[in-house]
Amino acid sequence: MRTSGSTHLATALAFGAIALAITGGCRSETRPDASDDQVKTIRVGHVGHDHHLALYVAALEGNRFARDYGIALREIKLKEVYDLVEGDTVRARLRLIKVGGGSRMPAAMSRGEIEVGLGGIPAVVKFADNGQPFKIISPLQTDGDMLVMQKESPVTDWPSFVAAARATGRPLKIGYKAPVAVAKLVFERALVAEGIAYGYDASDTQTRVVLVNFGSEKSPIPLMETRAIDGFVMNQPGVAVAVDKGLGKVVAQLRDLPPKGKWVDHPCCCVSATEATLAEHPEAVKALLKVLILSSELINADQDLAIDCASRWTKYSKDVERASVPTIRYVNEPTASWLAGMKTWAEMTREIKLFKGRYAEATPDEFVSDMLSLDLCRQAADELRQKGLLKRP
Amino acid sequence: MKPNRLTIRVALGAIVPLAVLLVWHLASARSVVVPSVASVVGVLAHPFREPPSLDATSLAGGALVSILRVACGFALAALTAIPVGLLVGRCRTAMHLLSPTVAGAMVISPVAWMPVAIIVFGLSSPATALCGDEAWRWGLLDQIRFAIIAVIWLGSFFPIVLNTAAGAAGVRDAHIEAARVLGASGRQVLTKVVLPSAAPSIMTGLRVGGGIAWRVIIVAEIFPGTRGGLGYMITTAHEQASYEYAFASIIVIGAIGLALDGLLRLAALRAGRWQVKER
Repeated sequence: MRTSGSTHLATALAFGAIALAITGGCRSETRPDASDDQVKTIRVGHVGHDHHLALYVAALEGNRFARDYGIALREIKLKEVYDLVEGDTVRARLRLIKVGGGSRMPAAMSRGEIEVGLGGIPAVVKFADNGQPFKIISPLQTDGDMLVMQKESPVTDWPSFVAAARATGRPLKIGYKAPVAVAKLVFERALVAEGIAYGYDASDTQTRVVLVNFGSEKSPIPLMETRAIDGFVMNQPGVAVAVDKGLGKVVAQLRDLPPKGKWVDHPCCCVSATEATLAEHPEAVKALLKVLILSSELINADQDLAIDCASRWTKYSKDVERASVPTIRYVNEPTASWLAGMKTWAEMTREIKLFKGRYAEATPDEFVSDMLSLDLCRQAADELRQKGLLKRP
Repeated sequence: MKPNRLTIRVALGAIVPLAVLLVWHLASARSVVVPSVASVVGVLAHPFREPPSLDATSLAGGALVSILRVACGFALAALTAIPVGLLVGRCRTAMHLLSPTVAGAMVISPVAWMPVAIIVFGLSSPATALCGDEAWRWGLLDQIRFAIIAVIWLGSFFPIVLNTAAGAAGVRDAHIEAARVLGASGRQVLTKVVLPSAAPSIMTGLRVGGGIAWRVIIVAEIFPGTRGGLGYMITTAHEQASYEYAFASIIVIGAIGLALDGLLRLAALRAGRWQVKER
């Protein structure tokens, strides 16, 4: 078989174009200064939804932070690379990596792909329970978990949900996103408190609530539209999306479920880091925590700005973020209320034997003292207070 | 006037797509999830526009990233599988050594290798290998994650090996003996007799492997740290309930897959032309 010269030429050109695209042609336009090479890079994993808004507001409002606080994230490449600048000092270069939710963040940390991670507490603790050297170094947010039912459902609040579950007839099918999701754990304990039998098998005649896993980080929307589920428990912004699409209505905030008062300020996402990172780069981590604390303050003080930033970063519509952001409590300081929530959570996980490793038998106090490393966070908050940058006492 | 054969073929071929369009239109009218045909056409009509309601690159950008990943994984598979296949087809010891492994690995879905690939390669890419922490400066090169390439390679490698081996084993001994009698060296026998004889089988393997590579990429692009590609776009569109982007991505995947298959089929026809002459 003979190949023509034009075929050779076309093949060579095609390969040349691909090679050019891969190498030089697609090289980023950004050209940081040579001194950047001296700065330590810290890779920060995050999920990409509005629970991690403190990071996104800081990233999008770098100029405001630099002007008002003197500590900021200076954008090098949007959504990906930032310099963490405190005064005139570059504390670290942050590479933001969207690693995904659930166990993907701590899994990436265990493989050494990120040093700091923003993500759900249960997954982080699960990995630490298995022996990974991780610490929770700061809260990120609480609340924002809700029970959503089909829009036409007669259920309008928790008492009517309980009544519907107890009524004879088919059991209610409630979706959840992951076996150790905070929303699912709180919901299960509320069902226990109400004496409602729940399970995973729809054919079990004793079961009044059937729990249906719709897959980590995936949307309950298709299941709601096809009425495969009567409702779901989930964190924001999944709740706001379902409401925005006209498929569901919020019937209860999980913070209000029984036992009364137990789930107020229940922890959801946190900032975690490897022990090595805390030991080797404490100043950089502390500077990052300062930025996150200030960002949470800004979110709580200026909700319009927060909603705008959330929509710009996550690309959810402003309507969705307007419904979502105000239901989440952004907190980056270990308040007494958050610590109490952590202890309640630890107590619950022990009751249901969630952990099999080092925390299997740990009391809430033992758990908190071992899993949490809040010194840098407290130091960061103290230093901000001394400079008059934090309004809250 | 009687319609010509081409018109009939086009009309017949259009029936199923038109039926799908009709069902889609009817479904979207009753659903808040299924996007309208017009909204998907709107996305397809602006392939270079960054999605306003999705945390992803443009459709064209996503397609380029996916194509590059498949090109790298598939090229690597072809470069490694063809020599292995020739060895298995022409050397009895190699066949006994490798056949059970190849046959066993062949039945494992490439997607099943994803956790293994990510444990082995993590988020590394050619850019991280060359520039470490500064890999982000290299745009597309950083998007070609080794873990994704490995999964594509695993998907394509085995069908190419099996088909190449079958083609190499089927070379007529008389042709090889004739070449040797005429003084051909081992290398000449390989390049002038074995490879041309096995070419149709090799091309069949490449076609099958190419199809698998393109199918695998969609699943492989849910790897953590990925922010581009058509698979990423579908997953993100599902999470963010922006289904018009998922539908548009599916259509683009189908179109590119069709083009890829057409190219490989053409190449296979050219490679097999000598067989027609032989008959």
